[in-house]
Amino acid sequence: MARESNLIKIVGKSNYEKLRSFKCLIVGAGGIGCELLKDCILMEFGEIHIVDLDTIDLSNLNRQFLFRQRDIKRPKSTVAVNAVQYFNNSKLVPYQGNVMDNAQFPLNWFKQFDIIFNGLDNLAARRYVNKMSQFLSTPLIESGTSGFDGYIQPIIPGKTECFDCTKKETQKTFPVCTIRSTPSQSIHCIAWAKNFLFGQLFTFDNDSENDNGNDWGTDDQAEIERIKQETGELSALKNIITAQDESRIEQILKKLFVDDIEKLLQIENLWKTRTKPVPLSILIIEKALHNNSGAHLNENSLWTIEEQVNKFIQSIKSLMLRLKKEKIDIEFHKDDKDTLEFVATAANIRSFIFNIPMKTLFDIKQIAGNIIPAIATTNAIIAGLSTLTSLRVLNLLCYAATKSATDLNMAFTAKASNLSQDRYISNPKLAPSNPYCPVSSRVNRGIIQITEMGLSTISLYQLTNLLREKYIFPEEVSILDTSDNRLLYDFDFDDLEGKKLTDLSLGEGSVLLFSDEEGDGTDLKFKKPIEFYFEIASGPLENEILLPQIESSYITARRSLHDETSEQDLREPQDKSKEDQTIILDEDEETAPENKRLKRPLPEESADEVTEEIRKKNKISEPPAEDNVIELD
Amino acid sequence: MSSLCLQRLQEERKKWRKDHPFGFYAKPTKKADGTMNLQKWEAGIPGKENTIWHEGVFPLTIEYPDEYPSKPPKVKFPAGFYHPNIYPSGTVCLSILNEDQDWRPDITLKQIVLGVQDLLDSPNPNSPAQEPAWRAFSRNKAEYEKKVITQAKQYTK
Ligand SMILES: [Zn+2]
Repeated sequence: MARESNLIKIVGKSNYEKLRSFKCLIVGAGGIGCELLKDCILMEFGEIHIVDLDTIDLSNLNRQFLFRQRDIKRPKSTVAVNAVQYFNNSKLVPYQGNVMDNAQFPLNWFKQFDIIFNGLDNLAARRYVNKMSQFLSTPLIESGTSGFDGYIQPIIPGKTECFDCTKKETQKTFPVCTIRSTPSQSIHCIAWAKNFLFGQLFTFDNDSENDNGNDWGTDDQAEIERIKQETGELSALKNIITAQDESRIEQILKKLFVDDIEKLLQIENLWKTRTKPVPLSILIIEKALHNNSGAHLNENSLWTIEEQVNKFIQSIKSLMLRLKKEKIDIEFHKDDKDTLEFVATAANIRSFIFNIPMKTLFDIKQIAGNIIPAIATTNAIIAGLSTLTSLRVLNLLCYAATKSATDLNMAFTAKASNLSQDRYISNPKLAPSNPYCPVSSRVNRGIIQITEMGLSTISLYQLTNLLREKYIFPEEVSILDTSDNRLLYDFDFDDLEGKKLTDLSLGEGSVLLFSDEEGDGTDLKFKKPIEFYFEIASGPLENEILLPQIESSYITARRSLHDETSEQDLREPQDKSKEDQTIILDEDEETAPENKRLKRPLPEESADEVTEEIRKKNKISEPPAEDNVIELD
Repeated sequence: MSSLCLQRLQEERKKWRKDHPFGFYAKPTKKADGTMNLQKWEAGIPGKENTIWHEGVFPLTIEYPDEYPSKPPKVKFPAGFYHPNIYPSGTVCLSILNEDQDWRPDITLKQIVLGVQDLLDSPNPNSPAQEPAWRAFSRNKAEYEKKVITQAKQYTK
């Protein structure tokens, strides 16, 4: 029996023919991407195009099942396509490149597809593909997994929620003082070992963590002085490493785990409300130094403190040797055994000192390597749901026609949603677009066709006037270049009016947002902004430019920004973008995602009252993020 | 940067134009290509009347991260700015500018600059961020006031 016969039973003969004529795009050839490719082939899509920027890494092999050891360092997309040829009945087109590169992948290229599948691992690319899908009204099936959790979200532009309709999590950062002086979770110790200690000891250029101009996340001068001094002293330790002087490894241990801790203890303010750390016992150090058995330890078991110290010493020895031989910086990599063991044992010894539970090598690898464990089964389930759902999105099921886009379902695992523990997957119907979403609701879209001649002869002033007349906008407008994050023109900024479009580096792939900054005089109604994609015309054009027909409509100004906040807070059914978070701290009560849910929208009040309230509440605080944090990337 | 961030910043610009407190200024900086960078603003904070700060308009830079408005902007005076609660790098520490404390996505530029103006003349001695101004403020008011007045003259209106 031919493979397609079952498929024909499900979709019917004529729909099968349709399926054979459809082109789909798979963005990403990683964990989900490999599964999507296999599924799309088995579903007999006519053409399958697959894009991935990356090359294959050793750590991919356990779950990205189309890749083998021999494929390491080769492009994912082409290797994946080669691997499936023997069961393939579709036209396959691989691309190695960044899907956000508008030179390689202009909007025109996206136009050929009937449906897009996302198998991505980062927020920026997800947002970009979402926007392209909105420009073209091409259905997109967004998906993601994190460990045993996963989700799929079909996005039907103009009809359902888009990727940006709900708030996404951002990564968590930690203040310097927490990492360097007062760790309270193992993640803090891992950050110390990986981002601070490792860099200080094994790289030649230490500017990576330059203390000048840092904010410390503490106002205790004694503590700041101590941190500065400690950094200086570590360069002395590095000399031991570079001299490959094994006899002085003892000094490294004593400095890091005894002397520095004793200095910390002297700053009494730090320990008024915290448990005091206990310096590592000299006895343990001595014992470990004279016990060079090199015991073979299991990465899944929890080592004793003696074993940690012993392994720490061994890893320093190996790294010393490599530093001498290779004469270049050694970088931390989760698959590099020496670097991983160094970081893991250093972190665990520090945890021990600070009364924080130690972790297994395997667990630390997950955290320090910044990977949320990827599980092949979850990827397979999620990709399967994506491709099955595509049949409904494309309305190919002969016995269950899709009447309305909001009859379609999304799916997410129970754990991801904190819903019932009794079921694995929930699949609610899709919601309509969030009326406050700047991507799918509060904007119209169109494509501007322009010739090369047009780009070099039309000025920004002329373009502004053309747009204003065509779409009947008031005098005061603004033009933002959203592809390059810059403001080109508005009510208080006309410096660039005389410039030609080429002088402003506008061309194929530029995206401009044209907004009404005046309203219709009632102060409530504004023209809905229009986002334009610039496309170089293939042939000659009258006046060198062609503006799209867009039904111009009005939006109501929000009375205040509160509406937006409360709206977004209500619409937070699940955490969809776990993959983008650096770290998931499941055992800690201080984990970021939960905090957010506790925030309440503001009560309605006038802006001035709010200001007054905020002014009263003002108090001095810990410094804000960025120059006082170590980001765990 | 997300669309939400960019559109919100343009909205902040419009709001500021319509309504901003007397004596303050705030505008986005320019990029090398002459366009405006909505993620980095320059502002001026006037010292309040009848305080030792009144002679100055103090320059402030406001940087909005890509995750704004989920995350707060970073607000800085010039490095070395003399004030007990300003870090040596110039970073201003206010609870409303801290993600883990009182930051909310609906806090506006106006609210931020007014908050910073309030801070100038009402430092919190229990939360020192720099040694010189904090020590003078808590032990030698005369010296503190002299330094503040000198600094205000340096940033005169
Ligand atoms: Zn949306």
